[in-house]
Amino acid sequence: MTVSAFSSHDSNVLSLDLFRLRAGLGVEELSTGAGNTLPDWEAAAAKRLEALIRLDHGWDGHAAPPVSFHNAHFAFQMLQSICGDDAPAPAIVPGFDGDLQVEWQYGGVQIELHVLAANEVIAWRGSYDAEDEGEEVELENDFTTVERWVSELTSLFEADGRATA
Amino acid sequence: MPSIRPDNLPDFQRPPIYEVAIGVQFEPTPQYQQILAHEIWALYRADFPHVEYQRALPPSFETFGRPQSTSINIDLAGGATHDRFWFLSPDKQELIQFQPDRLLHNWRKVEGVQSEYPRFEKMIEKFTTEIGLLADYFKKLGQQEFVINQCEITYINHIPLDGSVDSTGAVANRTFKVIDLSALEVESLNFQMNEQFKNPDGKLFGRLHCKIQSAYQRGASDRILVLELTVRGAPETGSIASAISFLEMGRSKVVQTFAKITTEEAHKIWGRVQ
Repeated sequence: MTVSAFSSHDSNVLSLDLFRLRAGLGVEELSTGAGNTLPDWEAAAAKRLEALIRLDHGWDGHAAPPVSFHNAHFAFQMLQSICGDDAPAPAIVPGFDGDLQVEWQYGGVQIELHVLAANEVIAWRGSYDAEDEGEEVELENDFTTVERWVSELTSLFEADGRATA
Repeated sequence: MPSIRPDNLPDFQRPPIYEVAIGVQFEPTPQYQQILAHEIWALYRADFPHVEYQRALPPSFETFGRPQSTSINIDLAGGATHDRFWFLSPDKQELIQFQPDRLLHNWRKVEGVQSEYPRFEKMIEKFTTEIGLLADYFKKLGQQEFVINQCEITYINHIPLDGSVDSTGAVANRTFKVIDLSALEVESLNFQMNEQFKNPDGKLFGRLHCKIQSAYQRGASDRILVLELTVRGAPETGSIASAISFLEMGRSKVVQTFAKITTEEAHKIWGRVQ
């Protein structure tokens, strides 16, 4: 795994990158810059995804391919849109068609994201113990709803951690 | 149908453009392997007779939820990797970049070559043909649809400094509305912002990335400020027509943002005519 500046062009310059500025704009984000260490969940997810794209063909004993390179990258970028630094690391399991599933389970709550392809995700939150069927949404690239779900799960996780500390 | 410049788009006679890249990312065709790269080069070789090898770019997707970093991307290691090929024109001002899931067309200034930026309309016309050739090749090879999942357009502008370290703040103040450095003695500068945008139905589908950085011109001691504007996102459908429509929208967004964040004083230097 490498973390790199992404560029599809050759701007032909040497960057100085010595310090950063803030300006009073109504913009989405002001960068914290390159070189930051990854949160725990990011490092764990990257390691797991690397393992899944290296699976042998037929890893399931039949003919399942490894998780596709595009699906793994999409899943990682999806998680960056969902998880705060303190989010618990999800379990990531391969599907039988190059797809994958991202899962959290804590305090009776379950969140599942089935990444069928880039920009094609089925998200579900519920409890296997509950009588209702939970919430299910089909998502493309906007994960605001799931960000809220995981944020609530993270708060629960942190509150329990404080209570037992 | 040829691309037509929107009437209301800001226009400059001498824009500080150094490089423009337009591109698409698509689902790779499983049947394609690097040993077939010569067949891809054959599609473009008449106009792009030189070839260079670069490291492949990782797949990139704009997703929405928590604010995203503008500069960090992860490159998962998946074993053997394909090169990214540069197919270059004879004067090396234009190039096609190809890897199994990407096609880009770049124009850039080259030292010693006297020619103006060919303008977006000409570039997109060429690029439409180039994607069509690639899509036809992959459809024949893989017997499946060619599906584009991201589009990207980048404009890189070089703004010269006056020659001294002290000029960074002064030139930035003269050039950019979004930065006020008048109370500081600035040695160098690195500014980034993102803006996300929605379609008429309120659905998020793309993001504009803006960076302003201090830099040196490579191979020279000239200090410059680099203004880089990129629009990236998912086309409405995976078709070529939809991708071209996204890139046309992205170009308008880049040019409008360029005009909005820069000063009238700078516009006079660049010969703003509209």
